[in-house]
Amino acid sequence: MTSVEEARAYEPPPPPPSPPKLASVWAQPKGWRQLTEVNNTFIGVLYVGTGLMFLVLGGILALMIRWHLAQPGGTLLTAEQYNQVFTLHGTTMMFLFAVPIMEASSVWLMPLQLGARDLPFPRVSAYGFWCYLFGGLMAYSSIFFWVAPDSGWFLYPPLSTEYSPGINNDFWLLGIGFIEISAIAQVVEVVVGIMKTRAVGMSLDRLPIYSWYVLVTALMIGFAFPPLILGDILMEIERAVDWPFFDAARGGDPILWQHLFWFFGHPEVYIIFLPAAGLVSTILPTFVQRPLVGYTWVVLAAVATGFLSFGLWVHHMFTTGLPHLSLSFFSAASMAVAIPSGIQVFCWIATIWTGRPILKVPFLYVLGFLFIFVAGGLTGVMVAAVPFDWQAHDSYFVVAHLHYVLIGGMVFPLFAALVYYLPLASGRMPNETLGRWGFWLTFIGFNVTFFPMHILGLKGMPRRVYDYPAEMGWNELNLIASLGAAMLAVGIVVFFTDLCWSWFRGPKAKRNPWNAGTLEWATALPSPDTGFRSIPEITGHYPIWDDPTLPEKIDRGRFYMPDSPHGDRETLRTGTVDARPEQILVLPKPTWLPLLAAVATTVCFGVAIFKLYWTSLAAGLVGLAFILIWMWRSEVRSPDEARDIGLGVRVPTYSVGPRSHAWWAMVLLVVMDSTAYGGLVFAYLFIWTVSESWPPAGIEATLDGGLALVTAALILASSLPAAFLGNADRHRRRHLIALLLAAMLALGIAGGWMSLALLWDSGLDPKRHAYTALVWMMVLFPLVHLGIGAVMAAFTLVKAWVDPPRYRWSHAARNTGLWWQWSVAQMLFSLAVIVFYPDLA
Amino acid sequence: MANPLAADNPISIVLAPIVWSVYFLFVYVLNSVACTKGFVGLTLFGFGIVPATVVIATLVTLAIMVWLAGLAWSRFAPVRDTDDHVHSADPELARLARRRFMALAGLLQAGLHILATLYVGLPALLVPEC
Ligand code: HEM
Ligand SMILES: [Cu+2]
Repeated sequence: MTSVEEARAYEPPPPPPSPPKLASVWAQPKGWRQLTEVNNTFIGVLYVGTGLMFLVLGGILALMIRWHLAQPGGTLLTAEQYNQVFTLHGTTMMFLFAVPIMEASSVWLMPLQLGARDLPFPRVSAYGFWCYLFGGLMAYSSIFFWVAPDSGWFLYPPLSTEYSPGINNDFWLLGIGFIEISAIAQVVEVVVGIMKTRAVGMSLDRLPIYSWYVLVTALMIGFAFPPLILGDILMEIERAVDWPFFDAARGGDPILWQHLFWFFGHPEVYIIFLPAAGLVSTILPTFVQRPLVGYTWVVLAAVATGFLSFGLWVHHMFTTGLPHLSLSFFSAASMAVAIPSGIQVFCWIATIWTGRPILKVPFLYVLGFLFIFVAGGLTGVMVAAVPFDWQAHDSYFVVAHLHYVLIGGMVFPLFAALVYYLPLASGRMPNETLGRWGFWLTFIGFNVTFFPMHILGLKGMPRRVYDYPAEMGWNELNLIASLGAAMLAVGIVVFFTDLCWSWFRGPKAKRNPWNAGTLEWATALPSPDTGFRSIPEITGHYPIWDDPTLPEKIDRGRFYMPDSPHGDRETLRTGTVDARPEQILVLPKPTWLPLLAAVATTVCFGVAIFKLYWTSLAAGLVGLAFILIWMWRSEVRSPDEARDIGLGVRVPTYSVGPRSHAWWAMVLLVVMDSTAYGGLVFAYLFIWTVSESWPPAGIEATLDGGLALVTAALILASSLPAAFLGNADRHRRRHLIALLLAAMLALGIAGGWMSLALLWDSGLDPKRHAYTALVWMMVLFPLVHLGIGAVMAAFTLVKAWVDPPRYRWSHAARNTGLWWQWSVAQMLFSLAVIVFYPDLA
Repeated sequence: MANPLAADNPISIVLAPIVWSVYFLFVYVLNSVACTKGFVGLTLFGFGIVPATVVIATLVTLAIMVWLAGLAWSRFAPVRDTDDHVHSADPELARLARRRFMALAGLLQAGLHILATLYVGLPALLVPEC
């Protein structure tokens, strides 16, 4: 008998009850106080649910589109309404459904699959989730008043700036910008979680394949979203105070937006696709009852896709007149990125080939995915070929291709995962019959909807048209597509019916019902609030197939941390590479703070849409106050404290520097922020390349070099005390830290003041030209960072003074130092670029 | 900072892609600036400045990647048969499997990005710059 068959035959005895302390500390609060729960497994369910809600909301808009276009001369929508509906459909699907639901799935699944009780920053995920829920509803609700964004989901200026003075696009910029920030919060959570909170023995080479995909995706979000957020900020500034970044009449360039957008937009496709491929790589082995073929190769593919896909941003801009050789670079990247996709498909097919397929519903969706993905990939190759793109650009061919890739590549794997993980979340089995009906209706409906659109595109039907003449020969195909959409909708309804019905009424699932090998299936069903009864030590990629008795051993508390003797929520921090136990992370208990902070943030962004900037500022300050309170309560453990985790191991509850999760979070933030700043520098350089002379004609170079040097010197000097902050906590006296912080702040404020003086003095009016606007931005961006650093410094100062034991403020001090040095680097670079530019004209 | 080339540093896996990203950004910026600022006409060793620079950058990148591949290979070869130890509960054996994984991952990355570099660099010889 192979170990996989042994695992199938093995039935663990029912789990003994958890020790009362462990159970009570992880128990969910009841009633209204449930809203204070921050546990990722709990938040994860709400999060996935919210994502599905937006799928339905976006789907309703899609049905309106197809209803309207079913015949020529449709009367459901006016032209203006049609623009809003398709824009909001694209926006909702991409930003409110596809990306968040993939993050949601990882937030929910990650702790169980990694063998952690929870991820390291539960409050951050909770905050991110609430922001997403409120921000998403805010952005979507615009349609009820017919003030939804209407310039297409990529919001190209000048359509979105000069020609759209209403508040429609502010909904996009502020609503979506806000959700991007919440996406970034989740990046910190899952990356640090994967690096730091794994089961003992889950070394890097044993990391579940899904975690690799999630890790890559999260880092991609971290690199792709910040430049888009920067673009949002620039466009919102242009719309609100008329700084002409994208206005061609005043030296700006609409193409700049396209660059910033697609630097995000192309990786976005992979940000959606990779976690879905991770789900496929996780589910598929279960239904062929053998390990995934080529683990290392699949890891290679995931990681390489992450890098190569950034090399493609311009492929949506083939028609904008870029230099020939530049286009060939991007074609090269498109070709290169096809290799890892091919490797994955090969590994999946090889796995199926050498296994014994079991045709249950999740596996049907996986097969549907493979079929559509291969077909969609082929059309993608066609679109990537430069000459073809010129013809198919902006036709229905693109709409067809897009949906083959997105629905085939992401919705099908998602549906597979929803059915697959239903027993883990609810303890009940899905219904096979309903599931099959749902699958076939969805699959056939999908193809009937979108296949004809390829032909429509080749017959010349443009996308985003609200009507078409009857004599073009497009009528039949449009009708077929609309009927297909109805069928697809019925399929999705059947699918959801199965999910909901089975969640409450399905037959009880036995342990590990699909006989999977990955760790999450070792828990009792449904997965208890405590997560694992004890944190296991594992081997291999499929711990349960390696040791079928693992679930029983976990249940009996034979591994680490079988109880919570101190009454704390705890999880284990393990080494990044070797996954040996290093520290107990004491996690926060339920709290109102994330929810309150999210409400304040929502008000802050929401009222800004209506230009109520003072209210917005006030709400922002309230939100900041909540976050500071939350930070204040974050550091409490003493460095001298150590706890037994069982099996004779004793670990501390405190760490600082590169081993600690706080340091990692800060470094990640700085890295992500650096891509936003990089986007700004790119914008400056871009305007430089498109200007005839520099500074542009009619504007004098009036930035004073001497003043800039003084500014730079002051700012540089302030980084000196910042550099010592990292070690200040070695000395027990609070005077030292106070002195360092005061020196840093004084120099920083003086330098910041000088930088403003530099701008005033120059007389450069930011409204006059894209160049002057960018000069201001180049200084204001680092200045805002220094301002945030000043708040952090003040916080640290007060904390060190009021609460002197050094371990209560050393993370704050170190992170302030890091952040400050990064802000200083930005400022110095900005000054150098704006004052000492090369004159290549 | 820890040595990024060390066998047990996860960064060693992504060195090749990082080098490729820098290279890609460099040639892209070079060509855009050359075209918009009008110094495509300059020559270097009798070749157009852009193709010449792109070819040099490509060769340098390839050299770095081949070196990375060699390094990864030298780490992979001694442990190539240790795949099965990934299931081992013995920490010493498990360490071998881990080393194999890291080395193989680095090797595959280098290989793939050598290809990607060639894809990007070769057209510079054929395609007109602007
Ligand atoms: C549920 C079935 C769906 C149907 C019937 C549908 C239908 C359509 C149609 C007909 C258009 C073209 C509108 C036009 O150009 O005039 C469109 C656009 C679009 N769809 Fe879908 N769609 C569906 C699901 C999705 C999903 C799941 C996603 C993403 C994950 C998505 C993303 C988009 C995007 C990004 C656009 C482009 C919007 C724009 O042009 O600004 N759609 N959809
Ligand atoms: Cu793309």
